[in-house]
Amino acid sequence: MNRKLLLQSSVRSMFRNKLRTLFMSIGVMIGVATLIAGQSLGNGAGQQVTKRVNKVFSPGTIYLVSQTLAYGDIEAIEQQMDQVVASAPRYGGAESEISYQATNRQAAVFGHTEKGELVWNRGVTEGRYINRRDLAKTARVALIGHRLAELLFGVDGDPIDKEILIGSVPFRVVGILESAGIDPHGEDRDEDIFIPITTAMRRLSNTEYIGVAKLVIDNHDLVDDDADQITAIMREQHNIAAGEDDDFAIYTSKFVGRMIARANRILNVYMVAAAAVVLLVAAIVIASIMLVVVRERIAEIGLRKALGATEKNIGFQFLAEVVAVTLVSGVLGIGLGMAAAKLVSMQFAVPVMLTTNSVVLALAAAVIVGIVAGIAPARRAARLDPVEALR
Amino acid sequence: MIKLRNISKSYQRAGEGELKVLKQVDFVVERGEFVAIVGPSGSGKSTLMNILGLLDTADSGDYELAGSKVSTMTATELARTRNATIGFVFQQFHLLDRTTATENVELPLVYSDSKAINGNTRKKAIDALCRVGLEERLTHYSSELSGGQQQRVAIARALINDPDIILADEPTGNLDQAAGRQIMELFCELNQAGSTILLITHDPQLARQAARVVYIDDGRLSSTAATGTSTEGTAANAGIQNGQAASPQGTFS
Ligand SMILES: Nc1ncnc2c1ncn2[C@@H]1O[C@H](COP(=O)(O)OP(=O)(O)O)[C@@H](O)[C@H]1O
Ligand SMILES: [Mg+2]
Repeated sequence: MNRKLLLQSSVRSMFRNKLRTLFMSIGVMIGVATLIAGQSLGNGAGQQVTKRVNKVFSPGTIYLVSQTLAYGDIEAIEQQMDQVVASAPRYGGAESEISYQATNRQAAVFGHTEKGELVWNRGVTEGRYINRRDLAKTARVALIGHRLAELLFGVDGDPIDKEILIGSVPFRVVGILESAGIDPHGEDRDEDIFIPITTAMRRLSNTEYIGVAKLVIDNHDLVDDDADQITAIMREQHNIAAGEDDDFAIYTSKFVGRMIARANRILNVYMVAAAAVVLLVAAIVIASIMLVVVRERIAEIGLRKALGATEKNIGFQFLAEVVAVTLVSGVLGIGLGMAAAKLVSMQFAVPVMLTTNSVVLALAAAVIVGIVAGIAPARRAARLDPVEALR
Repeated sequence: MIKLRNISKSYQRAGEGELKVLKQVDFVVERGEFVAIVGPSGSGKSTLMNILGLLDTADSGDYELAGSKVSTMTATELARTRNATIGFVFQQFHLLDRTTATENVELPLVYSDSKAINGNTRKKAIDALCRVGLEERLTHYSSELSGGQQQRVAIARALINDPDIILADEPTGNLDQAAGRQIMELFCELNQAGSTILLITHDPQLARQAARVVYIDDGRLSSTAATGTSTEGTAANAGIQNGQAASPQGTFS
C-alpha cells in the first residue's frame, strides 16, 4: 500500500466538507483546551503556593502548635534531640490597632525571638532585627512590613526610630521587614508587625504560653520520625496519660508538602475529569458524523475495494482521516487552552506553567479520541460489500 | 485467461424464495480477446461480471483467473488480484470528485504492492491518460470533464496496472451516442494493442463491435441470440460450450 497517496486523500477529505470537519474538531478542541488550561494553571498555581509555603515552611522544618506551649517545652525538645538545629517560638498574630499620629491601621502583631530571623526565614531590609537585649528588657521595639510602613508613614516617609502605638502602648520602629507577599489565606504579610516575644507575652497579653514554635531539623528526610519523638517529649512535658488525646499539634514540612500535592491532585482530577467528559462527548459526535460520512462515501469505498483495497486498507484510511482531524484539533486546542490560561492568569495573577507532560497528554488524548471515535465507522467502511456499495 | 466451469449463483429473496441468477455457466476468455456479453436487463450480466471481477463469489462451480484458482484465495489475496489483474470500467464512471484526472488514475497504485511503482505514480498515470487521448486534461477535476472524458479517465485508471483483463459493465450506458461510439473505438484500439477486454451490454448493436459475442438470457450463456434478434455476430461465436476461443486477438475487424 502506498501510504503517501492515501494520506494525501485523507487530508483532502478533511477539507472537502469544512463545516463538518469543524463540528468534528470543536469538541476535541474544547476538551484539549480544558485539559491544557487546567494543567497549566494548576501547575502554575501549585508552584506559586509551594514557593510561598516553602518560604515559611522550608524543607526540614517542624511546627509545634499548642494553646499551652511553654518555653520549657521547647527547651526540653532542644535538650533531648540533637537533630534540632535551631528553634524559635512565635507568639500571637492577632490583629491590633496600630497608629502613628493621626493614621490608624489594623495589623497582625507577632512576638519573635532573636532567632526568628533565621528560623522563620524573615529578616529586615532596613534597620535591625530583634536582639537578646530587647528580649531581656521586654523592650518596646517593633519591626514593620513595608506595606504597613507605607500606610503609616507614606511612600517617602522614614519609619526608623519613629514611635507608633500598638493599642495604647508606644513602640519604637527599629526595622523594616523583608517582603513576604500575600499568604495562601489572602493576608498581606507585608502589613505584619513583629515585636520581642517577651514584650508581647508580658506587656500586651500577660500570658505564659507561646502558641507556636518552629523547629529546624538537620535532615529533611527524617522529619516524620522526629515528629514522633517530639510527640513523645510533649506528652511527657504535658503529663498526658496513655489513651488521652494530645493537647498539641505537629506539622512537618513533609506533611504540608503532601497536603499541597493532594490539593493539586484533586484539582487536577477534576479538570481531567471535566476534559474527559468533553472528550467523550466529542468522540460520540465524531463517531456519529463519521458513520454518516461512510454512508455518503459508500460508492467511493466500493470503488476502492474494486481497485484492490483490502479491508485493512479501507479501515486504515477512515481511521487515519478521523485521527488526522482530532490531532489537528488537539494542536489547536493546546493553543486555545494556553490563550485561556493566559487570560485567567492576567485576571487573577496566577502564573501559567505548561509542561511537556501536559502537551504529550493532550496530544495523546486527541489521538485516542480519534481512534475510539473512528473505530466503528472504519470497521463499517472496511466491511462494506463492494457489490452493494457500487450499485 | 478466464475459465468458468459450471458456475451457479442465486439470491435469497425475502418472501419470494430463491432466485437463480446464473445457471451452470461455462465460459472461457483467451488472452487478447475482445468478447461482448449481451443480454436483456436482469438476465444476470452484472452478477456474472461481479463474479469475474472477484467482487462476489459463486455458489458453486470453478473459476480460474490467469492460471490461479479463485475459490482458494483469501479476501486479501482477492483484493491483491483485483488490483494487479483486473481493470474495471463501470457505467457510472465512479471517479472521485474534487480530484484531478491524474489523481483518479493513480488511485489503483495506492493499493499496489509493487515497490517499483512507488516513485513514479504520477508518470504512470499521465502515460495512461495519454493512451486514452486525455493528455490535454491531466489536471482537470472530474466535474470539469464531459461524460465521455470521464469514462476515458476511468479506462485509463483500469489500464494503469497493466491488467490481464478489462471488465466493462455497460460502459456507454450513461453516454450519448457519439461519446459511446468513441469509447467503443477506444476499446477496439486497446484490444488491438493487446488488451483483453470483456464488454457487458444490453445493446446488441454495441456488442457487434466485439470480436466475439456471447448471449446471456435468464442466467444461461449461449453463442446464439435466444430471441431471434440479429445473428450477424454469431460467426465468431462458436466455442462457448467447449471453452475454445473462436477469435484470436485482432481478427474481429
Ligand atoms: N443482491 C441481490 N439480491 C437479490 N437479487 C438480486 C441481487 N442482485 C441482483 N439480483 C437480481 O438478479 C437478477 C440479475 O441481476 P443483474 O446481474 O444485475 O442483471 P443485469 O446486470 O443483467 O441487469 C435480477 O433479477 C436482480 O434483481
Ligand atoms: Mg447490470
